[in-house]
Amino acid sequence: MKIKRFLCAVAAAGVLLTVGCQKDPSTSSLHDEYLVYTAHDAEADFSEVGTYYIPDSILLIGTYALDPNGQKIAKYWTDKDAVALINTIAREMEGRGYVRLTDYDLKDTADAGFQVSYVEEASYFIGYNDPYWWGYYPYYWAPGYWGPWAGWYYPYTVYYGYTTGSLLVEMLDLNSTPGADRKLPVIWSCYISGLLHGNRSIDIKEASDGIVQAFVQSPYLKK
Amino acid sequence: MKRSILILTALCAVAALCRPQRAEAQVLPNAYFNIDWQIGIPVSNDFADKASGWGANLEGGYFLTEAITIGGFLNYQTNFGEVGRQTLVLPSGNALTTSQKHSVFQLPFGVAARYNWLQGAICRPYAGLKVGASWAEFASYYSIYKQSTDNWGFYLSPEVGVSIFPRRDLRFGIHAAFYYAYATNSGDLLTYSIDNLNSFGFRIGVSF
Repeated sequence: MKIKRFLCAVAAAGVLLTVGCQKDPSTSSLHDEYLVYTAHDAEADFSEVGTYYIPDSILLIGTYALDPNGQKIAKYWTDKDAVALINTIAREMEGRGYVRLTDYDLKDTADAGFQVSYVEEASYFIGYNDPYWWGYYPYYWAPGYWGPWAGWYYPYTVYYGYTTGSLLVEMLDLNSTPGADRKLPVIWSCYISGLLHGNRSIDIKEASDGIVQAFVQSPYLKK
Repeated sequence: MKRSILILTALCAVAALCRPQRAEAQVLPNAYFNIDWQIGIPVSNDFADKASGWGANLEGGYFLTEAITIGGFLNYQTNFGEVGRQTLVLPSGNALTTSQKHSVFQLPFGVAARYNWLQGAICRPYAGLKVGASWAEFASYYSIYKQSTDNWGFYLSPEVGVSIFPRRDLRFGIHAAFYYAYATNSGDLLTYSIDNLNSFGFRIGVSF
């Protein structure tokens, strides 16, 4: 009987240890802040970049438009808020000595290209060793948009999740040799998350502040 | 809240189940057990520097002589830290701007030895030493992410305490202790480098 009571006590102690063991901190306050993460190709010489081209719209990830045949096609964010964010990128680039090419026909002559995307609804994952994200998402900036490359790759470690309310800014090296078996390198990437306050003006301001911060923490971006 | 209720319920159950029913009764002959709530206070640890009551200690031992006991222990402790918004330039050259919360979780276990005084008295003080292995996890929480690293280390912890048995004929009472703990767990996370874990703290619980 005594042993039985003891075993019950040990079981209760086990419950005590199991339920109370590891405690995570409260992270609700962290969700209210936006995060800015930047990564770059350490081998890239950003002083070699003279001109760049940036489209006048932002790709919306997680939502689609339909063409006249009812087929899903990429949907873009093109209103004044989208333009304001693109202009923020352009302003930061100009401040570092880079020249923007605004004529679409001159796109192929630019040294670098920007692709800007906003994750509106979906949540995708990307990892350095398994970068299937753009393979999974069918309308991400198509390689053909920039020229005859076979796709993209990050020449550096990228390991983070893309979540709803995130803005992605990527710079591609358009001087990379094109080819059907060659991939276009993303030489700089910026990831801003936490843009989900439910207030458009706050989200846009934080996105804009995040872009500025992305350039501040990337001092190698200069002509 | 739910977790606190579960812990409290389990603690009460342990106390009730282990209460001997007759004079001088012991759950196991020549043995003792302690179940404690633990408060840990980090020393020289900027990563997670706040005192925390998220800890517990489970210990049992055998009386080799009237004064000397030897047995085993297992405890755990989580401590936290906060870092305001800042830009971290990571070893890879990438950069991250965010606020963070940190946690250090320790799970040491091993051998516990004690020298006991005043056996048979109401207050029975002792001095002890715990030696063993320690598993630790260092974690940083930012935005919706958690980044962590874990490892094993050596654990050494001197302790002084007292068991108070209000009734001389009943080996069931209160346990209180003060301890210092040193562990060799170290690790690198983001831009932080943690080199050994030192802490002191208090334990209060039941002894039987």
